[in-house]
Amino acid sequence: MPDGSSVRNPFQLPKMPPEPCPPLRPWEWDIHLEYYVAVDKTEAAFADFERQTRSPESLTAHGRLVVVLGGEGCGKTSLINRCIASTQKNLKAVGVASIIVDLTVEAKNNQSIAERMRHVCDSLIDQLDVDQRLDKEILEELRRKESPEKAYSYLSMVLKRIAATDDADLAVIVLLPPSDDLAEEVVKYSDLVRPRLLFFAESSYLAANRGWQAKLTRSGPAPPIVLTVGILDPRDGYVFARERLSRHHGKIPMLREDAMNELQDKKPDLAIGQVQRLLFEVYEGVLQQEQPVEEVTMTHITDHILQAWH
Amino acid sequence: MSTSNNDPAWASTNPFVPTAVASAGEFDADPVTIRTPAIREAFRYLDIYLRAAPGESGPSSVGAGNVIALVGDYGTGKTHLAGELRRRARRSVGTDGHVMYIDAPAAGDVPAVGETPAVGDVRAAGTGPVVSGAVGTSFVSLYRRFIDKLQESDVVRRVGRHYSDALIDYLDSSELTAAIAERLRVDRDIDVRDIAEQLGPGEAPLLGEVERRLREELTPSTEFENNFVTALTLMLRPGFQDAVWSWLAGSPPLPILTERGITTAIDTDEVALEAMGMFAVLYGRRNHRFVLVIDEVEKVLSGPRRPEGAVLGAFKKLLTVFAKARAFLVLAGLPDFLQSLEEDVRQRIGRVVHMSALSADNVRDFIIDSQRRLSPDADLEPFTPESVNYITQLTEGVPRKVIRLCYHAYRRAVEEGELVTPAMVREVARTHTNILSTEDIRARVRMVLGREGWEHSTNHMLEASPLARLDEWVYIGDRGSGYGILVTDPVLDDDDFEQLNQRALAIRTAAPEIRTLLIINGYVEPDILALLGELFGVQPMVYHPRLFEDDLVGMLKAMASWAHHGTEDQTIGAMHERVERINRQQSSIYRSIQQIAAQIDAMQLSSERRLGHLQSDLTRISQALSAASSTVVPERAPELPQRMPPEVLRLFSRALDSLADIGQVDRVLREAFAVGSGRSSHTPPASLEIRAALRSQKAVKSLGVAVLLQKLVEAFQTGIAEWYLSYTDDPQGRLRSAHQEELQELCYTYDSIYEYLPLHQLTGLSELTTLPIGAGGQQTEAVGMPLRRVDVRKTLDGLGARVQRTMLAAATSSTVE
Repeated sequence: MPDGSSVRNPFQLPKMPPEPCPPLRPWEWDIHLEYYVAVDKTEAAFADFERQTRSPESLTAHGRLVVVLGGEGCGKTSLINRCIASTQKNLKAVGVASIIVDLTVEAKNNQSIAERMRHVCDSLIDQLDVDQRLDKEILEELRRKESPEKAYSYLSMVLKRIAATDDADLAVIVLLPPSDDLAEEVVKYSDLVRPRLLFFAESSYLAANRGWQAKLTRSGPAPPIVLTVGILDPRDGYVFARERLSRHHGKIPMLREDAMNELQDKKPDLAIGQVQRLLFEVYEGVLQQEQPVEEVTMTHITDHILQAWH
Repeated sequence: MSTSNNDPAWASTNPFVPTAVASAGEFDADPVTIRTPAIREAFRYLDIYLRAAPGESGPSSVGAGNVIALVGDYGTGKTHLAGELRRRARRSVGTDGHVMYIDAPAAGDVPAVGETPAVGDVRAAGTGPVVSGAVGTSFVSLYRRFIDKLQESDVVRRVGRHYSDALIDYLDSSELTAAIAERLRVDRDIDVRDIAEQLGPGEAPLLGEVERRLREELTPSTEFENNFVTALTLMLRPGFQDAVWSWLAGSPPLPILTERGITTAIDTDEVALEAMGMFAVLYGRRNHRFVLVIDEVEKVLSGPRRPEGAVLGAFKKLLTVFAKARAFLVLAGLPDFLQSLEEDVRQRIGRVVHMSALSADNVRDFIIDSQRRLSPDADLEPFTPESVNYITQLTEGVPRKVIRLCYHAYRRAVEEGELVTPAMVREVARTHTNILSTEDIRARVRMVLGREGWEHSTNHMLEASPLARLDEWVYIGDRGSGYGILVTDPVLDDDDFEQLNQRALAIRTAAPEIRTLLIINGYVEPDILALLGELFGVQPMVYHPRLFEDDLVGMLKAMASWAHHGTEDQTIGAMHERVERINRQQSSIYRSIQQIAAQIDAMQLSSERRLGHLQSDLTRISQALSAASSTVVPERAPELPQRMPPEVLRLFSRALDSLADIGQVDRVLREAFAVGSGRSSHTPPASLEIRAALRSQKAVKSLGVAVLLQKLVEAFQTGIAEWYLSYTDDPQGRLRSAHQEELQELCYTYDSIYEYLPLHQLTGLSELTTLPIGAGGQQTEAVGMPLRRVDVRKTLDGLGARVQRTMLAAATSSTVE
């Protein structure tokens, strides 16, 4: 049995720091694509996305807003990243390069919608500047625009012109900060969608099929896509854990199936993020123990929960 | 007498307060309280509320909800009792409750547009200008005082309890986390945020549950109340607390709130009342107790500010809310406020406590208790049972009058080394009546007559005899008919009464049909008051500082009606009506002019203060420059300009004038050294005369006392002038409470030093100031009138209290636009 401290935690994602619950980022790390597990309704949501974005030409011609709804830890961001990776691949297949800009931390609660949107727009221009695929003059012109509406409109026109006149064909994909309870903000972004501009938004406060959703701009050939994720189905916890553990090379204590099932029985509203976090921490503890552990049981899980908070 | 005249045991410090006005500042102290029936009754209602088991909606014996009213006239101890209730409630609830005292704002004390208090860093963050659309109204101002007393962190903690409860209930629902829930129930200080993040249902569902619980508890029914619940929930989300608190403090909602549906600002009476009700429920929940005392409530519930329509509805709702909220509301005020309320509102007030007059036994107990605060062995002395009875009789048991009389009587007793006798009380009452002199009151009568448009004649002689002189003659009709007004000093003994009797006789002799309105400045014995009514044909008015003008206006109308019906000439009567109408119109114009004049005065005061600030700054700069230049040694600091409102300055001028006799000593000494004075060989040298005067230790002591008095008044005046230049208003244009306390401290310092000075030794000063030393060595008239102790007393006794009141009145008026 090797020294426990040298064994990598099977719930730590590759290319990522040892954090309990980071979202998968397959558009940044290809290997992350292998880590999606068919649980938590995300598979159905992703299939829905692929069905609605079957035509990459439609994405460039009309742009798109994608909104993912669901509670905290249900995998919204991971789903968005998967959708972006898929879009990136599909666009590339038709000769369109994607500029993916992650602005998920570029807003504060104490900002108004107008301030948040202005800040996001400014940050986008800064990121495009760093990316260096757009001319400085274009970026300067974008900065001079008095409103995000005009900036996004101008950016879209520039991207179309580049596609028509230059060798490059570009689309800009923006990961927006969580909109929380600001349905009005999501509605406004639906108005800002333009050719070659794709927005991805998420919220853990908004519920699907409510009044705000009716206000989304639905006219035209590119209506917004609203996807929903939720808690784990029964037995999904073990499916998820088994998948992660199977990817591990080397000897590692296995997780008892009945332990995971019991956990889900006792806490039926678990989300995938909570399971990922819990198992990451349980294995951190198990792998640190001097006495080798043969298998992880419900006792390990409950001990961890109670020791942490009792 | 059991004590020596020179050093009586009770001579150390005056145990009574000269102002005898209870204030919020004294609430933290432990003033003497005598258990009158009213106090016992109020305590009983409060105790029933405090002892009620958690969850009981209201003690049945308090009646309709937990609302009581304390009702009584000026000086009857409402504020003192309110303070006692606050103290008693605080002792009882400890940390499991909230006890709050606020005094209702005066008519002019309203938040000015643009001066709405806001959370500083919200403004500073530049998230948008805070522009108030607030309309200054009674309950809005009251609410601002209410919210000022609440702590932001306390409100967050109370809402946070719902968050913890929701999380605990969630954790309890799973066998896996039930033990954690149990632990959290026991230890409420654990920060639950981390637990919520890892084991909770997520922030959104938890906050949703908090909001649901708040709605269940607060049962919001109006748009604002729904906004209130949303806002409280938002306080738990990172980044929202400042914005919500700013809104609760009265600012318009910032965009991050309006975007979440909070659109109603707390800037109308109706909304302000709803907000207070919401807080009452929030603070009165579960095992907690919430006691709110609103003092001087007549300022928002009677007269022109009496609530009507929707505001009245909101007030009724507030009273109902207090009952449901398991909170306790005390409304303290003048009887007017209760009378002005409609029956259905009065029914919502469970009990009305009428303030009791002090009995002689109460007064005796009060005196003994007060004196024992300073000396545990103290008894009734220097007071006697007779003087206690007389004080009670003279003051009709009104606590404020009792305390003031006790203060002055005690001073006199210490000074003269004698027990307080009824005669001494009578003398003290004569001297210490009101702030205004009788002459001042005559001036106020003239002012009211002019303002109200009455034609009148001052110092009107009905016949040659001075006894038939009236201070004012008010004309009704044009055949000389009308009525008289006579203002007089306190009427305390038979001599006073007899003098008035003579005057009444002379007036009746000169004009048998007329009636005379007698205005008495100060104390009058009730029996004598009734007799005077018979003598003058009209019940006399006793001057009261706050009510005087309103009362006088009413009396003038009544007198005019009587006088008018007394005339038989209907034509003249008709003419009079027309003239009266014209007079009324003129009166209206006069009032407008007077208001404008008042505003100009206020502006002038404000400008003077600014100028004073500038001068003060220049002085400091000048001093700094002098200090920087080491070659120049500053001779003495330049005197601060004595800028202050003219009415305050007058008080100081009068005070210093009464000591002007001291200046005569300078003159006597200067003349003794005058070159070429031409004194004849027959007259003794001046030095001999002065030495002769100085042989009497009385003169030296007297001069010492007088000089000390003068220096004391001058120092007091300088202190007040500096205070006046230094104070700043709060954002609502009110004098900040810290500055009020500073002023109170200054005035108290004066009064407390003054009472130590032996004024009875002043009489010896005349031996120096009346020395007949004159030019040419001729015997001349005395160079000065002897310093009169009575005059000195009139101007210096209670000067601190008078300055405090006058300054506060002036400061308040100068801030009202």
